[in-house]
Amino acid sequence: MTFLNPFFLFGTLLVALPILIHLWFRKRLKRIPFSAVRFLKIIEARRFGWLRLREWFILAARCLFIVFLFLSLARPNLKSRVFGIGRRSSVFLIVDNSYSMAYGDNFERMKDLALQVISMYSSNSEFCVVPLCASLNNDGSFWTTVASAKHALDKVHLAYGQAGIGAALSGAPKADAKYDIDYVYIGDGQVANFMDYRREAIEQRILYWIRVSTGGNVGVVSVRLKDPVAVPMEDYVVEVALVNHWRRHWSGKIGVASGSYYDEQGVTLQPDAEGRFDFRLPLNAQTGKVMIFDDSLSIDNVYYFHKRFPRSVKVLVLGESPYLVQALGSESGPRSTFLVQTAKQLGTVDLRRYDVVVFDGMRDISESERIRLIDHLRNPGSGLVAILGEGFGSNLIDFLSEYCMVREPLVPKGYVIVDWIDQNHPVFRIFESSGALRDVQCYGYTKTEAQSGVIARFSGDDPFIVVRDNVAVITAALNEQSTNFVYSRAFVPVVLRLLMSVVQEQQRTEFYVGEEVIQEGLVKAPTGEFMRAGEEFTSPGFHSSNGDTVCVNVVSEEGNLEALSAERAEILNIKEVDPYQDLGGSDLSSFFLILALVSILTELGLILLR
Amino acid sequence: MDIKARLVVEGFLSGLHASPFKGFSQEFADYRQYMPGDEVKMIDWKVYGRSDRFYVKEFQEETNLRAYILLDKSGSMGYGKKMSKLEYAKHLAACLAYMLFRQKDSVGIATFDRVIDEIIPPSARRTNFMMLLRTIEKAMPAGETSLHNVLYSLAQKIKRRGLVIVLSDMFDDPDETLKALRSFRYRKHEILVLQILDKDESEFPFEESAIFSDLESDSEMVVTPGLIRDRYRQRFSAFLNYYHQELLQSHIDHTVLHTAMPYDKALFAYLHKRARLV
Repeated sequence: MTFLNPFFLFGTLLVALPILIHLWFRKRLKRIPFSAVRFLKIIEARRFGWLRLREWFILAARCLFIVFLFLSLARPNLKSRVFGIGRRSSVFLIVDNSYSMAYGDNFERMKDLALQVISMYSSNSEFCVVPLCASLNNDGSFWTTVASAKHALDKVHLAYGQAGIGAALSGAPKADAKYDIDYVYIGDGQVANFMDYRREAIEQRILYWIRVSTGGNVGVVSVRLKDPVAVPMEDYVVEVALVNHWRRHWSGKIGVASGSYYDEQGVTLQPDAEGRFDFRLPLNAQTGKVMIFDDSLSIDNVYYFHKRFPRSVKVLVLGESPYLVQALGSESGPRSTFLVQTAKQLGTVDLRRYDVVVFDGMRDISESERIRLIDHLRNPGSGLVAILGEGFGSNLIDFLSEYCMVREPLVPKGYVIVDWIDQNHPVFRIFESSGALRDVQCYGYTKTEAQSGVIARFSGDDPFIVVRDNVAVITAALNEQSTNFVYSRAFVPVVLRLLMSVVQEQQRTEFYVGEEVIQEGLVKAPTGEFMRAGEEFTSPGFHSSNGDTVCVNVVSEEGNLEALSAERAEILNIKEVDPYQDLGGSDLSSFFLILALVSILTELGLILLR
Repeated sequence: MDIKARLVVEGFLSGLHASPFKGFSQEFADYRQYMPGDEVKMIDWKVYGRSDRFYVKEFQEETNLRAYILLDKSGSMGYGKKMSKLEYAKHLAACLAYMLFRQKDSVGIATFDRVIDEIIPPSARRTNFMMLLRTIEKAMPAGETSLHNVLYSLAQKIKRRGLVIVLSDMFDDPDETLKALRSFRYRKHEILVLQILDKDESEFPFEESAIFSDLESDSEMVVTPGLIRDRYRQRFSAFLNYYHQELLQSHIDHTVLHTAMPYDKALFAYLHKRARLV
């Protein structure tokens, strides 16, 4: 039994009052010794025992009156129905007919639950059935009988449209209600449904929510570029990480769409487990959506990604080799990935205008150039790729030694692909002098985070590559034969790598729902309006900033729909209930009020009955 | 007690215009001059022959009456505001004893409540009278009434017929009590029942609700007098009438006395009874 006004239960303590008064009066009565009590008894012979009982009955009736009265005021509710009769109430029933309910038999289950709710109340109750996505205007809602409510429920179909509980509640015909209104929502309770809900709409009463569990509960944790070292020239790999928040095995499809590109694959996830799935995208398809085909149309099941560099990479190639310029020059225009310029010597070139400087077969640099390069590399977003030739001068070695120095033992971490180390190779001297490879042991394949220093040694004639911070050193010289290799397995990935670690970290293109816009007038919402500083991203999707795309997504953990909706419901004081236990039931306040009346009438009757 | 009884009886007797007892005894006492009003048959004609004056003979009273005073001293007899019923009964018993003693009758007494407390066999001797008074004086209200049992018991004990004077409120089962009294009649005893009551008992004048506790038991009850007064009076009156009717039918004299009444009524009742015995 629960009490809607439990405060009144304290009133039952007043039961002590009549008992005290009774005792006080009894004490106050004069005691008269009398010789003819036998005659009094004879007169009351039949009633003497009764009189004594009557006295106690009066006291009991008086006490019960107080107890029942305050119990009635406390509004007790039984979960079960007394004598099969439910509580008489005005029930405002919001049924979720949004397409998220289309999963499996959720919609039918919702209807069954609604019928169950209707049957839990007294047949004299009145009902108002309102679909969450209503094609009709809710203002026209009115209270109906059980039969009409069932008929209305029968006519509810799945519908597209804005689904908000607040909007549904706004049409509640509160003024016409004959009884206390019970507000009940039956649905999966996706967070978006609660967005417009304000408790004031139901005058601080409680909204009861009967949850129809979501069909699936799979969210995108992240979409990121696969290891750039392995990225070929023509396309790149994004890795989609999914998490299954469901306690069941999940099988479904994920699709990646970017412009005209679309690919999908079937996936299987264990309960409460993550899975990673690769999609190979064309290099120019860097913005798109990952869709989980789960409970359809759910905003949480679409993940917006943007893997385009925020701007074109300005590359300065220093050297004689034509191969690199030819390769990078295949793209052109302001939105192309690389804007390449060449120079034979560093000389007086303004390095601030370039992101990446490439030494293509340069043998040495002057002292002043070395100092300028060091200064340049201190700038965020700048990098250097040194493609070494057969021989190089001491300034270049000194310069590169700083960046090739491995300050931590590389085993077991470190990005190492080493078959063997050619100790006769001139580059090896760089490492030898630094002592960095002293403890290196060779493993077939080991991998760490992208930001770690990288030493790679490819087998056979492949070059030896060192990448540290924003500097990459490639030991092979470029020639006609090695161009393909450089593009596909060395240069481009290295440059991408540099940009990921330097440029991309500077300018995030992904945000999450709930994060705040820091700078006013920077981010445009999908509606086209600039968002104010401090304003929160409230819905996932593509926003824009200075012509670039900004993605807003639901945080993967928040993709746990059930947890999220439960959390939101708790914040909004929406009470999740079990229709079989918590709804309908019996309001015993009238019952106790009648008992109180019976008690007081019994007392009066007993007083008059002599 | 002796003095009180003497005062009451002497006062009572001096108020009488004629003694109904004169001349009933056999033993000669004295002569006195004839006075108008004296019965002519009482004139001693022999003396008239010798002295030519009318003298009438006076006789010393003489009787063989054996009187038994049964004094109820149960708890209910202790009730009374100014004077308890027992006090009244004790005075009355003393008076009656004195009268009987004065008439040279044998008088005995038995005090009782549930059982016989003390019993003094009838005797006309002064020492017996004094013992009797002491017994009366000692009687204090206590215990429950079981009048009929006591009467049965006494009826067994008293062999010689005589006058039995019962001083009690008679608060016992009337039918049983009547049976017991009839058993005295069966043994040829003459019985005078002096039922002593308090005005409160017959009128139930209480006003406020109160707890009425029984003097003879632990029982008590909360009563609002105004609500039951009429029925109480009816019931009490029916109780008295029942006794009266039944006792009359059994040729048992019955007089109801209230503690506020003078003792005359009781003494008259006795004398009336006595006169019939002679």
